Amino acid sequence: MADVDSGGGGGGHQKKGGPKTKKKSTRIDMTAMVDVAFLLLTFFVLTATMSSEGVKEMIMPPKLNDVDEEDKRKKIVEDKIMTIIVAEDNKVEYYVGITDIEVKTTDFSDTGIRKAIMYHLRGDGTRPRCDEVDNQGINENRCWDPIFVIKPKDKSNYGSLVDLLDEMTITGAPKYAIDKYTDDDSIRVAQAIEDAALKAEAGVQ
Amino acid sequence: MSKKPKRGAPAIDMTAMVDVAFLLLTFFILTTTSFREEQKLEVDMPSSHVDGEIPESKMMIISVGPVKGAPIPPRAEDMQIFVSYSDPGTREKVVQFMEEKINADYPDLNFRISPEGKAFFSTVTEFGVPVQQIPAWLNASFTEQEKWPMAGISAAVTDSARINDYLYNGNDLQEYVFWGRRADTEMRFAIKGDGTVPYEIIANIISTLQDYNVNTFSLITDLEEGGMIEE
Repeated sequence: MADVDSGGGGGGHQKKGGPKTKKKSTRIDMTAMVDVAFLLLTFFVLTATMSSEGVKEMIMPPKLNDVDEEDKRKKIVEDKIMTIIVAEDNKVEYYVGITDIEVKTTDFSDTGIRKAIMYHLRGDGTRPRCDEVDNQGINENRCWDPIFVIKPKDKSNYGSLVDLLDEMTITGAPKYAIDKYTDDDSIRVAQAIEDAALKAEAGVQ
Repeated sequence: MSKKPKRGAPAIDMTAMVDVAFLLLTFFILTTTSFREEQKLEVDMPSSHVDGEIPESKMMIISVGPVKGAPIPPRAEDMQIFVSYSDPGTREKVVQFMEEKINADYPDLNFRISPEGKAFFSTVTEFGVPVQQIPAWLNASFTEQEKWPMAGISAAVTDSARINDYLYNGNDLQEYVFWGRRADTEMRFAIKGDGTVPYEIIANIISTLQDYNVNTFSLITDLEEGGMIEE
């Protein structure tokens, strides 16, 4: 198969019994072809990109300019909301609710933020999660509807944000949104930490 | 062939080897869908567990990452923003619209791009040139075009006094988003950010996208296997 037999078949003008022409099978030197083949093969093997990239679909709430719409947002029951603040140095701060909050700081280890997210997803354990039950016929108050608000600080790493979004995927959190970390947030968190420190001091004395 | 045993290279039957070589060659040629496009900006993406496929067409990708040779960890000022349109046809339209619109709005500027420059732009995959420098870049000679020093574009308004003056307000990304959308109304957007990018810059990009009502976009990440919680 490697040899191309050009002698076979013969031409129409050559007839049996004619002058003996020695059938020569022409051997083709394939070295060069093999060289080229392997060169190309190497090239394609090396350039073929086997790495797979993923893509994460994000849906942002539209920008709000209206005061009314801002009010609507506030009406969502506070306890459903867990706010996770992405801080510097791959740390996260989180709290449940809006008023009278208890801020905790953790990281991206397995016992860190993931545990807190799982805990919040479970709720008080008496109601099924809204996204897991058939919504029809079930009163919204009877099912647990956890919401996560992610607020990355300006100086936090984008990588941490993706880590946190990935935690949302891993834990199967049904509703989450990215929001701006405002000055109000930083005041609220600082106040909560101060209150907690005061309380702890009072407890010791 | 003489019967005398000859010294020298014995003839090896290469048939099988050649077969295998060509088979593998064919496989790799056919499976190589597209060569990794030239990347002007090296981006070390964070990993995640989501595996969606990145559409190959109708995409505008906004890459953010530290400039080559930046200190580790990179500082906020080392971050550069580059953009790329996936389709050559879109690039052609973008440069056309750009010329028309800027000439209409700023006639004194003489914002003209040579046909060669337009043709070159349609081959450019990723670039980071502010709008004002576009004519200088595209009208340059080919060798200059290739070596053009790209310092990335800005995604935030830097000159608030001229906020409505789109060419001078400092936010170049908004123009590229605007023209991209005009060139292809089905354009989708993706952010390809380095893990070390401060969120502030990503927030600026998201804000710019939302200014044009782009509320759905993708974050491109590296795929991470395993570790999912199954219930």
